[in-house]
Amino acid sequence: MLEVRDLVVNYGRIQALHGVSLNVAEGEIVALIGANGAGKSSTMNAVSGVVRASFGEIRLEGEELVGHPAHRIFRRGVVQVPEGRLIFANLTIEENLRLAAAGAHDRRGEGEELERVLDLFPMLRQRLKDRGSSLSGGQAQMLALARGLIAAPRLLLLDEPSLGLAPLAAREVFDLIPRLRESGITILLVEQNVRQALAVADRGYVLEGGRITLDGDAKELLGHELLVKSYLGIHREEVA
Amino acid sequence: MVDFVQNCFDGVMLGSSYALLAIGFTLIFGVMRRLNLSYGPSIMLGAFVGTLVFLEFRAGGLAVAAATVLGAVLVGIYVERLCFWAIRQGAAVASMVSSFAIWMQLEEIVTIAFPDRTYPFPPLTRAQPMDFGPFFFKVENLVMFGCAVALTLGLHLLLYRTRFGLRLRAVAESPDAARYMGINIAAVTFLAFACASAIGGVAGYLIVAQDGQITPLFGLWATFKGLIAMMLGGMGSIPGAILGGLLLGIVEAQSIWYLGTEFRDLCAYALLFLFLVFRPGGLFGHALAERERLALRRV
Repeated sequence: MLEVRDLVVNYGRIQALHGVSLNVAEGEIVALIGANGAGKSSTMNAVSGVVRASFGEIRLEGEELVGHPAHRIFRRGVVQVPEGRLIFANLTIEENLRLAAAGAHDRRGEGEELERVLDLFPMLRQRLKDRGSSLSGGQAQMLALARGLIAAPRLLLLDEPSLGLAPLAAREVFDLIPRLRESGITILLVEQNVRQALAVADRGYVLEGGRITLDGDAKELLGHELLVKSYLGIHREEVA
Repeated sequence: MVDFVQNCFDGVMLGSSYALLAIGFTLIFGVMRRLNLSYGPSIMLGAFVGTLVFLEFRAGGLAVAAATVLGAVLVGIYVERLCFWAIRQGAAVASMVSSFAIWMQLEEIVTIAFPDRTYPFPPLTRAQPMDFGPFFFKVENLVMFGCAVALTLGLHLLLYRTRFGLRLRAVAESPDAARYMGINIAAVTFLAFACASAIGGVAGYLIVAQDGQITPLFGLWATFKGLIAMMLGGMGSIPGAILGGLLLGIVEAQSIWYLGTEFRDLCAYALLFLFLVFRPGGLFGHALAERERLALRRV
Protein backbone atom coordinates (compact mmCIF):
# COMPACT_ATOMS: atom_id res chain seq x y z
CA MET A 1 0.00 0.00 0.00
CA LEU A 2 2.72 2.48 1.03
CA GLU A 3 6.16 2.38 -0.57
CA VAL A 4 8.91 4.70 0.54
CA ARG A 5 12.14 4.64 -1.49
CA ASP A 6 15.41 6.45 -0.71
CA LEU A 7 13.66 9.18 1.23
CA VAL A 8 15.83 12.18 2.11
CA VAL A 9 14.57 15.03 4.30
CA ASN A 10 16.60 18.14 5.05
CA TYR A 11 15.92 20.91 7.56
CA GLY A 12 18.09 23.68 6.16
CA ARG A 13 21.62 22.29 6.25
CA ILE A 14 20.75 19.44 8.57
CA GLN A 15 19.94 16.15 6.89
CA ALA A 16 17.39 14.26 9.00
CA LEU A 17 16.84 11.24 6.72
CA HIS A 18 19.53 9.58 4.62
CA GLY A 19 17.67 7.44 2.10
CA VAL A 20 14.98 5.69 4.13
CA SER A 21 13.12 2.87 2.37
CA LEU A 22 10.16 0.96 3.80
CA ASN A 23 6.93 -0.77 2.80
CA VAL A 24 3.56 -1.10 4.47
CA ALA A 25 1.12 -3.63 3.03
CA GLU A 26 -2.65 -3.13 3.18
CA GLY A 27 -4.09 -4.12 6.57
CA GLU A 28 -0.66 -4.28 8.24
CA ILE A 29 0.54 -2.62 11.42
CA VAL A 30 4.15 -1.58 10.96
CA ALA A 31 6.20 -0.10 13.81
CA LEU A 32 8.95 2.43 13.24
CA ILE A 33 11.23 2.49 16.23
CA GLY A 34 14.33 4.35 17.23
CA ALA A 35 15.81 6.81 19.68
CA ASN A 36 15.02 10.52 19.87
CA GLY A 37 16.22 12.29 16.73
CA ALA A 38 16.51 9.05 14.74
CA GLY A 39 14.14 10.43 12.08
CA LYS A 40 10.89 8.64 12.95
CA SER A 41 8.69 11.73 12.99
CA SER A 42 10.46 13.17 9.95
CA THR A 43 9.56 10.00 8.03
CA MET A 44 5.91 10.31 9.10
CA ASN A 45 5.77 14.03 8.34
CA ALA A 46 7.21 13.43 4.88
CA VAL A 47 4.59 10.75 4.17
CA SER A 48 1.74 13.03 5.30
CA GLY A 49 3.21 15.95 3.31
CA VAL A 50 3.69 18.18 6.34
CA VAL A 51 7.43 18.14 5.62
CA ARG A 52 8.73 18.31 2.07
CA ALA A 53 10.89 15.41 0.92
CA SER A 54 14.17 16.59 -0.61
CA PHE A 55 14.69 13.38 -2.54
CA GLY A 56 13.12 9.96 -2.97
CA GLU A 57 9.72 8.49 -3.65
CA ILE A 58 6.64 8.02 -1.51
CA ARG A 59 3.89 6.03 -3.24
CA LEU A 60 0.43 5.25 -1.97
CA GLU A 61 -1.05 2.39 -4.00
CA GLY A 62 1.29 3.36 -6.81
CA GLU A 63 0.43 7.08 -6.77
CA GLU A 64 3.30 9.48 -6.05
CA LEU A 65 2.75 11.65 -2.96
CA VAL A 66 5.97 13.69 -3.06
CA GLY A 67 5.29 17.25 -4.15
CA HIS A 68 1.64 17.20 -3.15
CA PRO A 69 0.52 19.52 -0.33
CA ALA A 70 -0.55 18.03 3.00
CA HIS A 71 -4.26 18.76 2.50
CA ARG A 72 -4.34 16.77 -0.79
CA ILE A 73 -2.53 13.82 0.78
CA PHE A 74 -5.03 13.97 3.67
CA ARG A 75 -7.90 13.68 1.17
CA ARG A 76 -6.26 10.59 -0.31
CA GLY A 77 -6.74 8.91 3.06
CA VAL A 78 -3.33 9.41 4.67
CA VAL A 79 -4.10 10.80 8.13
CA GLN A 80 -1.52 11.54 10.79
CA VAL A 81 -2.13 11.69 14.53
CA PRO A 82 0.87 13.86 15.40
CA GLU A 83 3.23 13.64 18.32
CA GLY A 84 1.99 15.83 21.19
CA ARG A 85 -1.57 15.34 19.91
CA LEU A 86 -1.96 18.99 18.84
CA ILE A 87 -5.63 19.20 19.62
CA PHE A 88 -7.24 22.64 19.38
CA ALA A 89 -7.53 23.74 22.99
CA ASN A 90 -9.92 26.64 22.28
CA LEU A 91 -12.30 24.62 20.09
CA THR A 92 -14.90 22.30 21.60
CA ILE A 93 -14.43 18.56 21.32
CA GLU A 94 -17.21 18.43 18.74
CA GLU A 95 -15.51 21.17 16.70
CA ASN A 96 -12.20 19.30 16.89
CA LEU A 97 -13.91 16.23 15.46
CA ARG A 98 -15.94 18.08 12.83
CA LEU A 99 -12.81 19.87 11.66
CA ALA A 100 -11.14 16.58 10.77
CA ALA A 101 -14.35 15.18 9.29
CA ALA A 102 -14.85 18.25 7.09
CA GLY A 103 -11.58 17.53 5.30
CA ALA A 104 -12.81 14.09 4.18
CA HIS A 105 -16.63 14.06 4.02
CA ASP A 106 -19.62 16.09 2.89
CA ARG A 107 -22.01 17.39 5.59
CA ARG A 108 -24.17 14.24 5.66
CA GLY A 109 -21.19 11.94 5.81
CA GLU A 110 -19.71 14.12 8.53
CA GLY A 111 -22.68 13.46 10.86
CA GLU A 112 -22.58 9.70 10.24
CA GLU A 113 -18.83 9.52 10.86
CA LEU A 114 -19.23 11.54 14.03
CA GLU A 115 -21.74 9.01 15.39
CA ARG A 116 -19.52 6.08 14.41
CA VAL A 117 -16.47 7.53 16.14
CA LEU A 118 -18.42 8.55 19.25
CA ASP A 119 -19.55 4.93 19.57
CA LEU A 120 -15.88 3.97 19.69
CA PHE A 121 -15.06 6.69 22.26
CA PRO A 122 -18.14 7.05 24.52
CA MET A 123 -16.24 9.34 26.90
CA LEU A 124 -16.09 12.00 24.18
CA ARG A 125 -19.86 11.87 23.61
CA GLN A 126 -20.48 13.12 27.14
CA ARG A 127 -18.13 16.06 26.68
CA LEU A 128 -18.84 17.22 23.15
CA LYS A 129 -19.42 20.85 24.19
CA ASP A 130 -16.34 21.08 26.43
CA ARG A 131 -13.23 22.82 25.20
CA GLY A 132 -10.21 20.78 24.22
CA SER A 133 -8.25 22.45 27.01
CA SER A 134 -10.43 20.75 29.64
CA LEU A 135 -9.21 17.24 28.77
CA SER A 136 -6.57 15.25 30.64
CA GLY A 137 -3.60 13.84 28.74
CA GLY A 138 -5.24 10.45 28.22
CA GLN A 139 -8.56 11.99 27.15
CA ALA A 140 -6.73 14.33 24.77
CA GLN A 141 -4.99 11.33 23.20
CA MET A 142 -8.37 9.65 22.73
CA LEU A 143 -9.64 12.82 21.06
CA ALA A 144 -6.56 12.92 18.82
CA LEU A 145 -7.19 9.29 17.81
CA ALA A 146 -10.90 9.92 17.29
CA ARG A 147 -10.03 12.95 15.17
CA GLY A 148 -7.75 10.80 13.07
CA LEU A 149 -10.40 8.10 12.66
CA ILE A 150 -13.25 10.43 11.75
CA ALA A 151 -11.36 11.36 8.60
CA ALA A 152 -11.86 7.74 7.45
CA PRO A 153 -8.15 7.03 6.89
CA ARG A 154 -6.87 4.29 4.64
CA LEU A 155 -3.41 4.73 6.14
CA LEU A 156 -3.19 6.00 9.72
CA LEU A 157 0.13 7.42 10.89
CA LEU A 158 0.34 7.25 14.68
CA ASP A 159 3.21 9.30 16.05
CA GLU A 160 4.10 8.45 19.66
CA PRO A 161 0.51 7.76 20.76
CA SER A 162 1.55 6.80 24.31
CA LEU A 163 3.89 9.76 24.89
CA GLY A 164 3.22 11.42 28.25
CA LEU A 165 0.39 9.07 29.17
CA ALA A 166 -0.11 7.25 32.47
CA PRO A 167 0.44 3.47 32.10
CA LEU A 168 -3.30 2.73 32.22
CA ALA A 169 -4.09 5.31 29.50
CA ALA A 170 -1.18 4.02 27.38
CA ARG A 171 -2.57 0.49 27.68
CA GLU A 172 -5.97 1.69 26.48
CA VAL A 173 -4.31 3.21 23.42
CA PHE A 174 -2.40 0.04 22.61
CA ASP A 175 -5.55 -2.06 23.13
CA LEU A 176 -7.28 0.12 20.55
CA ILE A 177 -4.68 -0.24 17.78
CA PRO A 178 -5.48 -3.87 16.80
CA ARG A 179 -9.20 -2.97 16.77
CA LEU A 180 -8.48 -0.21 14.28
CA ARG A 181 -6.76 -2.70 12.00
CA GLU A 182 -9.82 -4.95 12.23
CA SER A 183 -11.90 -2.09 10.86
CA GLY A 184 -9.71 -2.08 7.75
CA ILE A 185 -7.19 0.65 8.56
CA THR A 186 -3.52 0.20 7.73
CA ILE A 187 -1.26 1.61 10.43
CA LEU A 188 2.28 2.98 10.54
CA LEU A 189 3.19 3.38 14.19
CA VAL A 190 6.04 5.44 15.61
CA GLU A 191 6.69 4.66 19.24
CA GLN A 192 9.48 4.90 21.78
CA ASN A 193 7.91 2.18 23.87
CA VAL A 194 9.54 -0.52 21.76
CA ARG A 195 8.11 -3.50 23.60
CA GLN A 196 4.50 -2.37 23.33
CA ALA A 197 4.92 -1.20 19.74
CA LEU A 198 6.32 -4.50 18.57
CA ALA A 199 3.71 -6.41 20.56
CA VAL A 200 0.89 -4.94 18.45
CA ALA A 201 2.80 -4.67 15.14
CA ASP A 202 3.23 -7.25 12.37
CA ARG A 203 6.59 -5.92 11.23
CA GLY A 204 9.05 -3.30 12.37
CA TYR A 205 11.82 -1.03 11.14
CA VAL A 206 14.59 0.35 13.33
CA LEU A 207 15.83 3.84 12.49
CA GLU A 208 19.20 5.15 13.62
CA GLY A 209 20.65 8.48 12.59
CA GLY A 210 18.19 8.83 9.72
CA ARG A 211 18.88 5.35 8.30
CA ILE A 212 17.04 2.04 8.54
CA THR A 213 19.44 -0.29 10.32
CA LEU A 214 17.20 -3.25 10.96
CA ASP A 215 13.84 -4.55 9.81
CA GLY A 216 11.82 -7.72 10.04
CA ASP A 217 8.96 -9.56 11.68
CA ALA A 218 7.89 -7.89 14.95
CA LYS A 219 8.30 -11.03 17.06
CA GLU A 220 11.77 -11.67 15.64
CA LEU A 221 12.79 -8.08 16.27
CA LEU A 222 11.71 -8.36 19.90
CA GLY A 223 14.33 -11.07 20.32
CA HIS A 224 17.02 -9.47 18.17
CA GLU A 225 20.26 -8.99 20.07
CA LEU A 226 20.91 -5.45 18.80
CA LEU A 227 17.43 -4.31 19.71
CA VAL A 228 17.54 -5.94 23.12
CA LYS A 229 20.85 -4.20 23.84
CA SER A 230 19.86 -0.80 22.50
CA TYR A 231 16.21 -0.40 23.40
CA LEU A 232 15.02 -3.13 25.71
CA GLY A 233 17.74 -2.82 28.34
CA ILE A 234 18.68 -5.79 30.44
CA HIS A 235 15.38 -7.63 30.45
CA ARG A 236 16.46 -10.18 27.86
CA GLU A 237 14.98 -13.09 29.72
CA GLU A 238 11.61 -11.32 29.73
CA VAL A 239 11.77 -10.94 25.98
CA ALA A 240 12.71 -14.54 25.47
CA MET B 1 -26.96 65.08 30.95
CA VAL B 2 -29.01 65.04 27.75
CA ASP B 3 -25.94 66.25 25.85
CA PHE B 4 -23.80 63.54 27.38
CA VAL B 5 -26.29 60.81 26.44
CA GLN B 6 -26.73 62.28 22.95
CA ASN B 7 -22.93 62.25 22.54
CA CYS B 8 -22.86 58.62 23.64
CA PHE B 9 -25.43 57.75 20.97
CA ASP B 10 -23.43 59.68 18.36
CA GLY B 11 -20.25 58.01 19.59
CA VAL B 12 -21.74 54.54 19.23
CA MET B 13 -22.80 55.37 15.65
CA LEU B 14 -19.34 56.75 14.80
CA GLY B 15 -17.65 53.94 16.70
CA SER B 16 -19.48 51.28 14.71
CA SER B 17 -17.49 52.33 11.63
CA TYR B 18 -14.26 52.21 13.65
CA ALA B 19 -15.30 48.76 14.87
CA LEU B 20 -15.64 47.56 11.28
CA LEU B 21 -12.17 48.90 10.44
CA ALA B 22 -10.76 47.20 13.55
CA ILE B 23 -12.51 43.90 12.75
CA GLY B 24 -10.74 43.86 9.37
CA PHE B 25 -7.36 44.44 11.03
CA THR B 26 -8.19 41.83 13.68
CA LEU B 27 -9.26 39.17 11.21
CA ILE B 28 -5.93 39.40 9.40
CA PHE B 29 -3.88 39.67 12.60
CA GLY B 30 -5.82 36.84 14.28
CA VAL B 31 -5.20 34.40 11.43
CA MET B 32 -1.69 35.38 10.36
CA ARG B 33 -0.26 37.02 13.49
CA ARG B 34 0.95 39.75 11.17
CA LEU B 35 0.02 43.41 10.90
CA ASN B 36 -1.17 44.70 7.53
CA LEU B 37 -0.27 48.39 7.49
CA SER B 38 -1.67 48.90 3.99
CA TYR B 39 -5.17 47.89 5.12
CA GLY B 40 -6.35 51.53 5.32
CA PRO B 41 -4.83 52.53 1.97
CA SER B 42 -6.44 49.44 0.35
CA ILE B 43 -9.82 50.68 1.56
CA MET B 44 -8.94 54.20 0.36
CA LEU B 45 -8.10 52.93 -3.13
CA GLY B 46 -11.37 50.96 -3.12
CA ALA B 47 -13.25 54.14 -2.22
CA PHE B 48 -11.52 55.95 -5.11
CA VAL B 49 -12.73 53.19 -7.44
CA GLY B 50 -16.23 54.01 -6.13
CA THR B 51 -15.52 57.72 -6.73
CA LEU B 52 -14.46 56.97 -10.29
CA VAL B 53 -17.67 55.02 -10.92
CA PHE B 54 -19.66 57.91 -9.45
CA LEU B 55 -17.87 60.64 -11.42
CA GLU B 56 -17.67 58.80 -14.76
CA PHE B 57 -21.07 57.12 -14.84
CA ARG B 58 -23.09 59.17 -12.33
CA ALA B 59 -23.84 55.79 -10.73
CA GLY B 60 -26.19 55.43 -7.76
CA GLY B 61 -25.29 54.57 -4.17
CA LEU B 62 -25.50 50.79 -4.53
CA ALA B 63 -23.25 50.69 -7.63
CA VAL B 64 -20.74 52.96 -5.90
CA ALA B 65 -20.86 50.78 -2.78
CA ALA B 66 -20.30 47.63 -4.87
CA ALA B 67 -17.40 49.27 -6.73
CA THR B 68 -15.85 50.40 -3.43
CA VAL B 69 -16.06 46.94 -1.87
CA LEU B 70 -14.84 45.21 -5.04
CA GLY B 71 -11.95 47.67 -5.34
CA ALA B 72 -10.97 47.15 -1.69
CA VAL B 73 -11.09 43.35 -2.10
CA LEU B 74 -8.95 43.39 -5.27
CA VAL B 75 -6.36 45.68 -3.71
CA GLY B 76 -6.47 43.54 -0.54
CA ILE B 77 -5.72 40.44 -2.62
CA TYR B 78 -2.84 42.28 -4.30
CA VAL B 79 -1.41 43.11 -0.86
CA GLU B 80 -1.90 39.53 0.35
CA ARG B 81 -0.10 38.04 -2.64
CA LEU B 82 2.79 40.49 -2.43
CA CYS B 83 3.35 40.95 1.29
CA PHE B 84 1.91 37.87 2.98
CA TRP B 85 1.68 34.91 0.60
CA ALA B 86 5.04 35.61 -1.02
CA ILE B 87 6.67 36.11 2.37
CA ARG B 88 5.86 32.89 4.18
CA GLN B 89 5.87 31.92 7.83
CA GLY B 90 8.38 33.28 10.29
CA ALA B 91 8.84 36.65 8.64
CA ALA B 92 6.20 38.80 10.34
CA VAL B 93 8.41 41.89 10.36
CA ALA B 94 9.21 41.52 6.65
CA SER B 95 5.49 41.31 5.89
CA MET B 96 4.75 44.39 7.98
CA VAL B 97 7.55 46.43 6.42
CA SER B 98 6.56 45.42 2.91
CA SER B 99 2.93 46.30 3.65
CA PHE B 100 4.18 49.76 4.67
CA ALA B 101 5.95 50.03 1.29
CA ILE B 102 2.71 49.05 -0.47
CA TRP B 103 0.91 51.74 1.56
CA MET B 104 3.25 54.34 0.02
CA GLN B 105 2.73 52.82 -3.43
CA LEU B 106 -1.08 52.91 -3.15
CA GLU B 107 -1.06 56.53 -1.97
CA GLU B 108 1.18 57.51 -4.87
CA ILE B 109 -1.11 55.77 -7.36
CA VAL B 110 -4.13 57.66 -6.00
CA THR B 111 -2.30 61.00 -5.81
CA ILE B 112 -1.22 60.69 -9.47
CA ALA B 113 -4.60 59.45 -10.74
CA PHE B 114 -6.62 61.92 -8.62
CA PRO B 115 -4.52 65.08 -8.35
CA ASP B 116 -7.16 67.31 -6.67
CA ARG B 117 -7.26 67.65 -2.90
CA THR B 118 -10.79 66.27 -2.48
CA TYR B 119 -13.38 64.53 -4.65
CA PRO B 120 -17.14 64.35 -4.15
CA PHE B 121 -18.72 61.07 -3.04
CA PRO B 122 -22.46 60.30 -3.18
CA PRO B 123 -24.10 60.73 0.24
CA LEU B 124 -25.56 57.74 2.04
CA THR B 125 -28.98 59.37 2.27
CA ARG B 126 -30.54 62.84 2.07
CA ALA B 127 -33.18 62.11 4.71
CA GLN B 128 -33.75 64.60 7.52
CA PRO B 129 -32.62 63.75 11.07
CA MET B 130 -35.17 61.98 13.24
CA ASP B 131 -36.22 63.07 16.75
CA PHE B 132 -36.80 60.66 19.65
CA GLY B 133 -37.80 62.78 22.65
CA PRO B 134 -34.85 65.01 23.56
CA PHE B 135 -32.53 63.07 21.25
CA PHE B 136 -32.05 63.25 17.52
CA PHE B 137 -30.39 60.87 15.11
CA LYS B 138 -28.98 61.42 11.64
CA VAL B 139 -30.39 58.80 9.30
CA GLU B 140 -26.96 58.14 7.75
CA ASN B 141 -25.63 57.37 11.24
CA LEU B 142 -28.44 54.90 11.81
CA VAL B 143 -27.77 53.26 8.43
CA MET B 144 -24.07 53.01 9.28
CA PHE B 145 -24.85 51.52 12.68
CA GLY B 146 -27.36 49.07 11.19
CA CYS B 147 -24.84 47.95 8.54
CA ALA B 148 -22.15 47.52 11.19
CA VAL B 149 -24.46 45.38 13.36
CA ALA B 150 -25.57 43.29 10.36
CA LEU B 151 -21.97 42.75 9.23
CA THR B 152 -20.85 41.80 12.72
CA LEU B 153 -23.69 39.29 13.02
CA GLY B 154 -22.86 37.95 9.56
CA LEU B 155 -19.23 37.56 10.55
CA HIS B 156 -20.25 35.77 13.75
CA LEU B 157 -22.37 33.33 11.72
CA LEU B 158 -19.51 32.83 9.27
CA LEU B 159 -17.05 32.07 12.07
CA TYR B 160 -19.30 29.86 14.21
CA ARG B 161 -21.79 28.26 11.81
CA THR B 162 -19.77 27.38 8.71
CA ARG B 163 -17.00 24.94 7.86
CA PHE B 164 -14.89 27.83 6.59
CA GLY B 165 -15.30 29.63 9.93
CA LEU B 166 -14.25 26.51 11.83
CA ARG B 167 -11.17 26.14 9.63
CA LEU B 168 -10.35 29.81 10.05
CA ARG B 169 -10.54 29.56 13.85
CA ALA B 170 -8.38 26.43 13.75
CA VAL B 171 -5.72 28.13 11.61
CA ALA B 172 -5.84 31.19 13.91
CA GLU B 173 -5.21 28.94 16.92
CA SER B 174 -2.51 26.72 15.48
CA PRO B 175 -1.45 26.58 11.83
CA ASP B 176 0.81 23.62 12.67
CA ALA B 177 -2.07 21.54 14.04
CA ALA B 178 -4.36 22.68 11.21
CA ARG B 179 -1.91 21.29 8.66
CA TYR B 180 -2.40 17.79 10.12
CA MET B 181 -6.18 18.18 9.76
CA GLY B 182 -6.08 18.46 5.98
CA ILE B 183 -6.72 22.19 6.00
CA ASN B 184 -5.45 24.18 3.05
CA ILE B 185 -3.88 26.97 5.06
CA ALA B 186 -2.98 29.15 2.07
CA ALA B 187 -6.62 29.08 0.90
CA VAL B 188 -7.99 29.87 4.36
CA THR B 189 -5.56 32.78 4.74
CA PHE B 190 -6.42 34.10 1.30
CA LEU B 191 -10.16 34.00 2.01
CA ALA B 192 -9.70 35.59 5.44
CA PHE B 193 -7.83 38.43 3.73
CA ALA B 194 -10.58 38.80 1.14
CA CYS B 195 -13.25 38.85 3.91
CA ALA B 196 -11.31 41.45 5.89
CA SER B 197 -10.92 43.58 2.76
CA ALA B 198 -14.65 43.32 2.00
CA ILE B 199 -15.53 44.40 5.56
CA GLY B 200 -13.04 47.26 5.21
CA GLY B 201 -14.63 48.18 1.87
CA VAL B 202 -18.08 48.42 3.48
CA ALA B 203 -16.67 50.47 6.38
CA GLY B 204 -14.84 52.73 3.91
CA TYR B 205 -17.97 53.27 1.84
CA LEU B 206 -20.10 54.10 4.91
CA ILE B 207 -17.55 56.55 6.32
CA VAL B 208 -16.79 58.32 3.04
CA ALA B 209 -20.48 58.47 2.05
CA GLN B 210 -21.24 60.10 5.38
CA ASP B 211 -18.54 62.74 4.77
CA GLY B 212 -19.68 63.24 1.16
CA GLN B 213 -16.08 63.62 -0.02
CA ILE B 214 -12.82 61.71 -0.19
CA THR B 215 -9.13 62.58 -0.03
CA PRO B 216 -6.00 60.41 -0.46
CA LEU B 217 -5.33 60.95 3.26
CA PHE B 218 -8.31 58.74 4.04
CA GLY B 219 -6.00 55.70 3.96
CA LEU B 220 -3.82 57.11 6.74
CA TRP B 221 -6.92 58.03 8.75
CA ALA B 222 -8.50 54.58 8.34
CA THR B 223 -5.25 52.85 9.33
CA PHE B 224 -4.90 54.95 12.48
CA LYS B 225 -8.54 54.61 13.55
CA GLY B 226 -8.62 50.86 12.88
CA LEU B 227 -5.30 50.27 14.65
CA ILE B 228 -6.26 52.36 17.69
CA ALA B 229 -9.63 50.60 18.00
CA MET B 230 -7.94 47.19 17.67
CA MET B 231 -5.32 48.04 20.29
CA LEU B 232 -7.95 49.39 22.71
CA GLY B 233 -9.92 46.15 22.39
CA GLY B 234 -6.94 43.78 22.44
CA MET B 235 -4.96 42.60 19.41
CA GLY B 236 -6.59 39.62 17.72
CA SER B 237 -9.94 39.74 19.57
CA ILE B 238 -13.07 40.39 17.48
CA PRO B 239 -15.30 41.29 20.48
CA GLY B 240 -12.41 43.52 21.56
CA ALA B 241 -12.32 45.20 18.14
CA ILE B 242 -16.04 45.98 18.42
CA LEU B 243 -15.80 47.35 21.95
CA GLY B 244 -12.58 49.24 21.14
CA GLY B 245 -14.24 50.88 18.16
CA LEU B 246 -17.30 51.89 20.17
CA LEU B 247 -15.17 53.24 23.03
CA LEU B 248 -13.07 55.28 20.60
CA GLY B 249 -16.23 56.66 18.96
CA ILE B 250 -17.77 57.68 22.30
CA VAL B 251 -14.57 59.38 23.50
CA GLU B 252 -14.27 61.27 20.21
CA ALA B 253 -17.93 62.35 20.25
CA GLN B 254 -17.63 63.64 23.82
CA SER B 255 -14.39 65.47 23.09
CA ILE B 256 -15.88 67.14 19.99
CA TRP B 257 -18.83 68.41 22.05
CA TYR B 258 -17.05 69.44 25.24
CA LEU B 259 -13.59 70.46 23.93
CA GLY B 260 -13.98 71.19 20.23
CA THR B 261 -13.28 69.40 16.93
CA GLU B 262 -9.56 70.12 17.12
CA PHE B 263 -9.30 67.96 20.26
CA ARG B 264 -10.90 64.91 18.65
CA ASP B 265 -7.70 63.16 17.53
CA LEU B 266 -5.76 64.39 20.55
CA CYS B 267 -8.26 62.69 22.87
CA ALA B 268 -8.14 59.50 20.78
CA TYR B 269 -4.34 59.33 21.12
CA ALA B 270 -4.55 60.23 24.81
CA LEU B 271 -6.95 57.31 25.32
CA LEU B 272 -4.58 54.98 23.50
CA PHE B 273 -1.68 56.29 25.61
CA LEU B 274 -3.60 55.60 28.82
CA PHE B 275 -4.39 52.07 27.66
CA LEU B 276 -0.78 51.40 26.67
CA VAL B 277 0.38 52.51 30.12
CA PHE B 278 -2.32 50.94 32.33
CA ARG B 279 -3.78 48.10 30.25
CA PRO B 280 -1.35 47.34 27.41
CA GLY B 281 -3.22 44.19 26.40
CA GLY B 282 -6.40 46.18 25.73
CA LEU B 283 -9.91 45.41 27.01
CA PHE B 284 -9.78 41.73 25.99
CA GLY B 285 -6.03 41.32 26.25
CA HIS B 286 -6.14 39.06 29.30
CA ALA B 287 -8.79 36.77 27.81
CA LEU B 288 -6.76 36.60 24.63
CA ALA B 289 -3.52 35.83 26.47
CA GLU B 290 -5.34 33.00 28.26
CA ARG B 291 -6.56 31.61 24.91
CA GLU B 292 -3.01 31.79 23.55
CA ARG B 293 -1.69 30.04 26.65
CA LEU B 294 -4.25 27.26 26.24
CA ALA B 295 -3.47 26.94 22.55
CA LEU B 296 0.23 26.53 23.26
CA ARG B 297 -0.29 24.11 26.13
CA ARG B 298 0.05 20.47 25.17
CA VAL B 299 -2.84 18.72 26.86
